[in-house]
Amino acid sequence: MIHASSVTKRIKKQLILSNVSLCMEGIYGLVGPNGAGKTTLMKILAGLTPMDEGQVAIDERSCTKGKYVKAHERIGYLPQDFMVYPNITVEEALDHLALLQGMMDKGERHAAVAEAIQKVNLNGHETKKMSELSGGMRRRVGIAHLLTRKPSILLFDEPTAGLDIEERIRFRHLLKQLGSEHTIVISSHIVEDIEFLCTKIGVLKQGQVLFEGTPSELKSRAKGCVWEYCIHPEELDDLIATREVVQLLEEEDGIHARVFSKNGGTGGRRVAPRLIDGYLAVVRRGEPR
Amino acid sequence: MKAYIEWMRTAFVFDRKTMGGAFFVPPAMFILSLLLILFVPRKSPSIYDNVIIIQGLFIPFSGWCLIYRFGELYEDGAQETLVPYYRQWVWIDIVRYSFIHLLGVVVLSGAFMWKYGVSSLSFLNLIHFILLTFFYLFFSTASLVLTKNTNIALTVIFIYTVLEVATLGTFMPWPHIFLFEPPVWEPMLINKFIMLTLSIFLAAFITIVWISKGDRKPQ
Repeated sequence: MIHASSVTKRIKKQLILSNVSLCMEGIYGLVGPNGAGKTTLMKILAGLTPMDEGQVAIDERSCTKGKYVKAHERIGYLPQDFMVYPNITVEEALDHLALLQGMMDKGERHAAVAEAIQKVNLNGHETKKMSELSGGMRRRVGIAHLLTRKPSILLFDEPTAGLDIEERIRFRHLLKQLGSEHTIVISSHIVEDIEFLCTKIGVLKQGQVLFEGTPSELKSRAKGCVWEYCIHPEELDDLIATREVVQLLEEEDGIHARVFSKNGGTGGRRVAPRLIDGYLAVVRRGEPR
Repeated sequence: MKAYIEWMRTAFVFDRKTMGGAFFVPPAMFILSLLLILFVPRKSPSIYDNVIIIQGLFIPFSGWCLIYRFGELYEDGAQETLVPYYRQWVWIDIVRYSFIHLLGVVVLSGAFMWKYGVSSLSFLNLIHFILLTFFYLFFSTASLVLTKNTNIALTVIFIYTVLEVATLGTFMPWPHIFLFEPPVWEPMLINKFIMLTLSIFLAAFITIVWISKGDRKPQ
């Protein structure tokens, strides 16, 4: 469990994070619109960026030294666009990263790298050059690198951004699998991924925490605000112009449009909210918890 | 200690893999300098040309491999992963390449003295070689961390060295770092040594701070 208390960060007098307090455990999803401060918070947790105020504790033990989180051996951070040593093979890159971690013994290094490659299903790609890998494969190498360090907490910044659908699904399964052994924090704006993976969610907007709780608690924030309309294709433009349509599904009897609104119109029926509705309800309302 | 030596050996092997042919440029310059010192016959006063060869042909490459090594930090997507490690090992990287290049300077100086006599190279020359080696090492890394671009850093070093050596210090107006004539302990030389020493400290400071700092821009 990683606990951030009153974390504040300013850059050139602009408030990036304001008094952020979150308790991250299980598979934790950090969501929010662009510019919410998700990546800054992840970098602070990873010890890459200093904070101005606040404390971070892992398993109730403070790991803040000065303005930095100093827990590199316990926290692994995968940036959005992981790429190292483009001219060498996956195995050589992982071996060298393990060496940089201080794993001096060659045999120990090789065993750790082989185990990590196995865990992230990179078998058969060990001899490929890093520059030849797809975005998803590179992120797998990034995870393999983190696993050689055996950290208890893994931080993933937008792990599925820019991946094709198949790769995204594979990646989600891999993260789910890792969640059984590690505390995972995922920053994402893809609510679908969060819904699939996370057991707890934090919503950030403009550097403030708007919500923290379970997915069902987030869904309940939109209770009574989601309507479904069954319409003909020619009515769609009118509906989009007048209502906030969050999802469209083409069925045999017409188009089923899910609308986020406090008041339903004629022909609409109130339906159970989904995670994206809860997210919208929280972000739109905008006030802090 | 044994573990550190093994670490350094593995790191050299890794640098050779990442750099490819570029890794062999400094050794090639060393061999070329050695051959020129040993086999190109020179008579006084042109024997000092061999000292210029050590200064202009071998020593400027003392930061070459470190530019490539630290240049990996500035590849897209590498910084956040590598900064915590490079921060930790930066001194070891500097020590291993300083050691190799100072060893090269010692061998070339030895070869020069063996060929032209011990008195042909003064103690001041040796001090100057050492200062120049550290100057190029840190000037190279500082250029890299400031420009964040391997090619620009290499170009800066290359243009500066070629202009200075090819024109024997007559082209550029500022205080020169090379010695194109046998040294004499006088204010000019003292100033040169002071300037080199201060530049080394400044460039070392920039290198260490920038590598430790990494990229701290918010996103």
